[in-house]
Amino acid sequence: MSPVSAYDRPTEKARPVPFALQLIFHKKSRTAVAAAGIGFAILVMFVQLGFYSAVLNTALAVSARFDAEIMLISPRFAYLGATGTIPAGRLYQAQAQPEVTTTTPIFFRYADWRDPANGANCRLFAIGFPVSADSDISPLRLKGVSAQLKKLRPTNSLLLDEMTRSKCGPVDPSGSTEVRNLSAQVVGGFKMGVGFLADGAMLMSDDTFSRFFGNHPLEEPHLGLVRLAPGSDVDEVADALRTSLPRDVRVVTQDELNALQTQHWVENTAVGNIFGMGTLAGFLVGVVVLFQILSTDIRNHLPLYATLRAMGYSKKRLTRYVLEQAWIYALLGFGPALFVSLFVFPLIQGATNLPIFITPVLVVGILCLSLAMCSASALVSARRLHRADPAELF
Amino acid sequence: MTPDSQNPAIALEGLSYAFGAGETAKQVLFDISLSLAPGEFAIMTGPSGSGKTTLLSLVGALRRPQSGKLNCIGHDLHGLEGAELEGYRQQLGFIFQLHNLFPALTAFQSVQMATDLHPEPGAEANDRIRALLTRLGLGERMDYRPHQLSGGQRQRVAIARALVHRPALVLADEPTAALDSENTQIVLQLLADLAHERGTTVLMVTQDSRVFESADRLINLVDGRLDSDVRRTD
Ligand SMILES: Nc1ncnc2c1ncn2[C@@H]1O[C@H](COP(=O)(O)OP(=O)(O)OP(=O)(O)O)[C@@H](O)[C@H]1O
Ligand SMILES: [Mg+2]
Repeated sequence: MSPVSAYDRPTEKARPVPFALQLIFHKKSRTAVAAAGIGFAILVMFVQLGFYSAVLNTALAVSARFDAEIMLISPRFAYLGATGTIPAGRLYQAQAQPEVTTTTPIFFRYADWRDPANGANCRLFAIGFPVSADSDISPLRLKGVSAQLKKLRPTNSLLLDEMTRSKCGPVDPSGSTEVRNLSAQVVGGFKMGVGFLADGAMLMSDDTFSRFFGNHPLEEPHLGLVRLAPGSDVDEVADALRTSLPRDVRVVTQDELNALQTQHWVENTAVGNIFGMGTLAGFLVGVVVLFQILSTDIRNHLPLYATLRAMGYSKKRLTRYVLEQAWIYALLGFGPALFVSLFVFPLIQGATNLPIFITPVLVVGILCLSLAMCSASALVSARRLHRADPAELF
Repeated sequence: MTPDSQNPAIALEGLSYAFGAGETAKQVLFDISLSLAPGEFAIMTGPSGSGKTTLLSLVGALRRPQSGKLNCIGHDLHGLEGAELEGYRQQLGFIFQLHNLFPALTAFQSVQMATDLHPEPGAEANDRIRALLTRLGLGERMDYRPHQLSGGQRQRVAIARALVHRPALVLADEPTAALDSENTQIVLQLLADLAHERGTTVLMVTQDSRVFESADRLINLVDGRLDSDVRRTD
């Protein structure tokens, strides 16, 4: 190829010099090292934010599945693992509102689980609710549960979450097991996944629940579901319930319950904090790595940038060149980080059974974080451009 | 047309300059008055340390003037800032002693950095870059990066970068120091053509007496004072 040929095209357009690209790809080995460093930081953010969204999934795993518009909870409610109880009578009182169609008391408790076959031990989240002959509506929107409700009628039968961690023993949909040292029968399964809440979950009738948990009184459910007629104004009914019911229950909509759950898991638990901090740590590592690269490069080229200033280039335009370099680095690091995540996430998921997945939201979120991370580096590094003084050039 | 009949391209009156302030202040320019007309090709000489470079950087708005009048191509350089300062510099062509080329850019791209500041439609700018590099003997090396070029070739790339956007005023500090006599002649001819055909004002510092004959004016600076100012006529 003759060196001139590239400019001999008759239809050539006046395209500006791709300055940032040229600078980045001139030193390929340095660029590779930089991209690896930034890619590592982005991978850390991927995993940490993946876990963080697993925390969010944990928060909503149960509460977002309640098949009801309004919930009655105890004023002592902290999250689904620490609920307090409500008087069951409040559910009957709620039915006085014309929009309310049905109500359901729900019971929750952690339970020790033991697989007598192999002695495996773990802690499951037990959910109890009435299983009457005349209703086949599951209080939780879970695929296949409605059809299995009648299997729960015999005492001591339960449905086991198939996402229960493997350390609890083989998830056999028809086997004997022990719950709190009482024998029980697994009569079916469903898929929910409770993340960090417990090792797994099980559904049972309120009678079975009461038997497992020391004759827990059925008049003291942990939460009440209130379903409304289609087309009802949820907020209006919730307000009406708030005025009509005594202060020993709290009335929340499903969104409000989800918000309480999220707030608890993100703000009050160690897991929420750890993964939030982990994401921040990855972000800061990326900022520092790229700052080193960009600021060293600017320092080495100070007289050259000063020359551009003498030619009439503005500081703004030079800053933009630095930003463009940073964005290219962000993309160079993002690609490999995403690629590695696609392999790492299924490994983590398989090993922990945590709801950690690469979702479009996560990918876009990390891409935005990566660009923000690199932009932050660029803007800090670009402050060195002020030292590019054309007065000393002659 | 006589140069004096027009508005001068460079007008200095009572210009002084000192480095530092207070006790350690060191004055290097003393009460300089000088006027160059558009299209004049002036060569400035003087012993080392006489203040030639300082004067060039003041005229180029690379340093802030302190006292005296300093007007260039329609701009008062006192208090010139921001976009106005950048706009002024864009009308200038600087040739520094050091070539200051980005290692990552080809010769063509280095020169294009100057035309990028003056967007024009189509490929006209690219044509001019090619023509100029070819005239400077770099037609076969437009895609070369600085590390593939000799010192003299790099200097010629820098010269092309300073001239390609047709500046109104060219400020050059020893531009031919790194060049052999053949290329020195090419560069001087180029500067003379710009001055006489396009009306570009050229102010060039050099110690090379072989090139004096190209100039319309010979300005001599000694110890920060204007020692002589000779208008050559031939
Ligand atoms: N940044 C600076 N700070 C302090 N003094 C300076 C600075 N730059 C130059 N000087 C001094 O100002 C005086 C004039 O310097 P200048 O570079 O303008 O001279 P010059 O005529 O270009 O010399 P030369 O022919 O060696 O390039 C010198 O005494 C020099 O030491
Ligand atoms: Mg000098």
